[in-house]
Amino acid sequence: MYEFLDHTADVLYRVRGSTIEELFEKAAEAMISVMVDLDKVEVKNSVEVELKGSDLKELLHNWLSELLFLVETQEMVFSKFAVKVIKDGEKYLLKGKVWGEKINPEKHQFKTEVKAVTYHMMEIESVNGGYETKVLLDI
Amino acid sequence: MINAKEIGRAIWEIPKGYKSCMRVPLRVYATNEIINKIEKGAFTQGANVACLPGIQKYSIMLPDAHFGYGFPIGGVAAFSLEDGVISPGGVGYDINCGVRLMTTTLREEDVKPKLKELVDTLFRNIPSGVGSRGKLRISESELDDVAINGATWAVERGFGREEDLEHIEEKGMMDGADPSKVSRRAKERGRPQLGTLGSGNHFLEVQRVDKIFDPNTASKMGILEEGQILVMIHTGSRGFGHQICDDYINVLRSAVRKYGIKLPDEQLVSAPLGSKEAEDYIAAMYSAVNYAFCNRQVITHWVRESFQSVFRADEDELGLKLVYDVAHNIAKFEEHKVNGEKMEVCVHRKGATRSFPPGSKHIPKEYREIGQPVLIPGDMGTASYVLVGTKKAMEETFGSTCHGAGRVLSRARAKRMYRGQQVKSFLESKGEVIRAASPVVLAEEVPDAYKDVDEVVRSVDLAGISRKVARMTPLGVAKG
Repeated sequence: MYEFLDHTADVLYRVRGSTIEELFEKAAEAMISVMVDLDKVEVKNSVEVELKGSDLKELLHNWLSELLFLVETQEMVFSKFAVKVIKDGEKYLLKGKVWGEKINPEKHQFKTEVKAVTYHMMEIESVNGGYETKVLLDI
Repeated sequence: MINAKEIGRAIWEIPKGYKSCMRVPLRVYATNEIINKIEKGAFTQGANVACLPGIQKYSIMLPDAHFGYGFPIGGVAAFSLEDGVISPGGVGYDINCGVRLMTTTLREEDVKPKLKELVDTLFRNIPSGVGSRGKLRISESELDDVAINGATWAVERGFGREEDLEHIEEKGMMDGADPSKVSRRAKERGRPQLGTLGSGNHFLEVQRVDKIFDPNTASKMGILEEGQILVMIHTGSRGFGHQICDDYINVLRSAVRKYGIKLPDEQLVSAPLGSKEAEDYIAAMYSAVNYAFCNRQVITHWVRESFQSVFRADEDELGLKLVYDVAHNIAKFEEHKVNGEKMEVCVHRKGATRSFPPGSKHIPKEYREIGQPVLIPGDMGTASYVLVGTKKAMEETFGSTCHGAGRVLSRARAKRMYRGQQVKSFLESKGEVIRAASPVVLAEEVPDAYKDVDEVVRSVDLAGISRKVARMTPLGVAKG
């Protein structure tokens, strides 16, 4: 689950997941919901992603940034996310698949553009057997 | 209220002891009314900047300062080349987000009957909104040229006039850009977006001159009378700049570990000036600076075309002369006086405008007598300003002043309080014409979400770090 918090200039949200994977998936959902209503996005195509991070924080940042990159360069928008996080020595790997469709401005009625995913206030913590972090988007 | 001491008119100092890691004090330029509106978090961020290695004199917050990530937005910090750092967070994701202003020969009464048609034409001719793609199709090597040559690239291809270049900060082309330091991903994002406005607070506005404070200075810029029509463009380096900042934050996260830099906030990641990581970031950041100058230049051309088609008049009749183009998010190497001695420093302006004084060799000849034009965009319902740079800015704020009103209301709260349609109707009842790609953006950018721009400008004018020249109000707005 995720909830939006007040931040003067940008968008800040708190996200929780019972596993690291769920945390990453929900964080993606929250970010995309800033740009477009998720229920307007049909699951028609999918894209596979694979990325690395030197720690979990960097991995989360890189995952969300990858989605922004895909939105802009593939002109797609997504509503379904599945990831697997693998520890690889000191580093972390993410293998994931995202589902959505080509952007259709009339249908999707974009809300706000997300410029970037920051590291500000990002701390991945274990809470009640699950995981929690905040994410601040520059918009 | 924070424990700040007023040390001059609209100038406050928060001593080093506010946070134990501070190397220099924090200075705030604001009237009493404004300083009370700045959130505590913004002061913490300003104090965090004062903790960075090699910072000179003080960490500076301007009256439009608000809570950002890492650095406060509306802040200035200068670092020594010997033991200082450069930080992508001190520039921001939207590298060279900036403003340009054009004058016209038209008056309010000429434009009003055709205002709707004009705003519609501008909205159609200048792509805006989320993920908007430009009408330009440039190749990879052309993108490299844009990164190196900035606005010059555009003018050489017929987007605008040779004389425009003289009226852009750095003449629209910053030396030292190297597109080989820009990632493939940034280039992929940047290529289709050249010549687009984007979303959020970016806009294109048809404004009327509401008040002239200094007729002599204003006339040197071609601002001649109240009721005259001006055009303002507010946008930046789009996905190209966002990706460059993002890429280098990751690079500098490792640099922080490598060089053992202690940071009070991770978003302040920095590299020592002179290190390979710093050099690479600068070469990439300057590429985005040039991209943004080029972006605003291309848009300028389409604004001119739009005016010509709506008013069926040629360029000479309409004027549409460029007053100036300034960057609001940038880091540059400049010479400033520190403790009575001249030294070269790396000045970070994040949500701040250069404010160079009369006589500066870095400003166009026509403006050497009056000082550099400083452009302060308002937002939809609020006023915008033209100011000029001063000697006092050179002495106190590393030649810098404010960049806008600064938010007071979060986007989340603005959306809970207002609906886009309601904001639009309110502004239209005042006679404005608004075209926006997204109603949500209208709600987020509701005028009440910002500090009072008049009071912000009064602060910098009172403090003497820039001087009021003219105030404009919007007639027509095209937004993302």
